[in-house]
Order: sequence, then C-alpha cells, then structure tokens
Amino acid sequence: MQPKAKKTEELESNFNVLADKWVRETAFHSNDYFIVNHPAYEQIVALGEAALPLIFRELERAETAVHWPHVLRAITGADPTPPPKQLSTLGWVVPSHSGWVALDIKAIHKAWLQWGREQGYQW
Amino acid sequence: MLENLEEVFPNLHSYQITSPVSLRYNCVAWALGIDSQWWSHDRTWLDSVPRSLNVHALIQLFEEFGYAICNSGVREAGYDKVAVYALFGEWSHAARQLEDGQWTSKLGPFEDIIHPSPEDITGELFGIVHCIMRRTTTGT
Repeated sequence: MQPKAKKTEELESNFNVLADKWVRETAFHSNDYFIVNHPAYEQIVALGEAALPLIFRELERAETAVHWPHVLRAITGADPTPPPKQLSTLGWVVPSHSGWVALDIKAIHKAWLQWGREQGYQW
Repeated sequence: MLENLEEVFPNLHSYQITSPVSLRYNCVAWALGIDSQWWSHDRTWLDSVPRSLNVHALIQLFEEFGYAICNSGVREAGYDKVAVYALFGEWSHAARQLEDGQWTSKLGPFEDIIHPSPEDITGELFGIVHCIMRRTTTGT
C-alpha cells in the first residue's frame, strides 16, 4: 500500500471510531453542552481539514446527524447557515413574547453540504 | 432508529415508540407541546430567557409558559406537568406528562417514546430529574 493511501485509511479508521463513540454517547442530547464537551468531539476537531470529506459524507448519509455542524464550524471557521431570525412576537406559540426562530435542521445540513461542494470537497 | 434503549437507560423497563424520527423538534419543544421547532438557547428561544445551557434557563423557559415548580410527578387532575432533567448543572432533557399519567419524551433527533415515570430515563446520559413543574391545564 502506498504511504498516502495508508495514511488515508488510518485517518478514516480513526475517524470512524471517534465518530461512532461521539454520536452513540451523545445521540439523545439536544443541549450542545454535552455534544461539544464530549472527549471525542475535540479529537475529531483535531483531525482537521483532512477529515472534512468524511464529515460531509456522514452528514449526507445519516438522517439523524445533528452533531456535525458543530465540528464543521470548529474546523473550518465558516458558517454557511443564516443565524436564527429574531421575531417581535412568537404568535404561533407565545403571543406575548419575542424571540428567535432557527432554520430547520435539514436546511442547515443542506447549506453545509452545498458549502462543501462549493469549496471543492468530494466525498 | 431507536434500538437497545434499555442499554442506554438501565432504569427503562417498558416503553412505546410513538413517532417517526424527526429533526424538526427536540425534547424541549415536545415538552411544550410543539412539534415544529428545535428549542435550545442557540436556535429557537425566547428573548426573556437567558441564552444559556444551564438548567435554570430551561426552568425559566417553562415558567414563561406558565409552569411553576411543584413537588410531585403524580398525575393531578387539572394540571399539565413537565419534568426537567439535569446533568452537571446543565439541562439534559425534558419530558411531558400525558393524561393517563405516563410521560412522553423526544429523544434528541430520534423518535418520541412513552414511558411510565420520569425516573425511567435517569442515569448516566440524562442525569437526574432536577424538578417537576406544573401549570393549570390549558386544554391544548
């Protein structure tokens, strides 16, 4: 095996182990604290740009891959998704309150996948 | 898809899956009776509540919806109840009581389940039931 191919295989193997552990142990959380304070999160981020195609692949493959935008933001420093929109009233649920409404998570995933393709990543 | 839930929640001995997988809403939204937004401090949230991960911010959110801390998760006619879970001082989950006294939980991006008591899903993952809150039944 060529050294480059071996390195890629090692990266993928390492990534798969970390990703499986991270997602399995935080899958039911929707509080970001537990998602980004898991030890595997820092290890995945430390894999750096080389891991981006693997992350985009996971984001595209897994219907419940809600964690990956955290890692993508940390590695790339980018965020192609619009911030939550402030509304003067949340009439649909609490008419007397103002607040913030975020994009649907599927739309966030779609924005990241489009960003990845535009940056030339292939997965 | 949910599988091996008993391994993740050792106190969970019986449950029913009651929805498909959905990324549209999470446990907090579902506890509030909402199935169209993902409620967390950096997504959908109220201006009047600190944008914090701390359990007190989640309690304050429920207070804005008319809930107040109470003593018991036992079903009381005329009241809606929610359970607030915490781990290391951060909110970790929320569940809502059904009319028959059982509880409904949305598990992150996965399905909703019905479980007999709030304590069924305590443990390493969600920590403890930090408090039970109630409000006069709204009829919604």
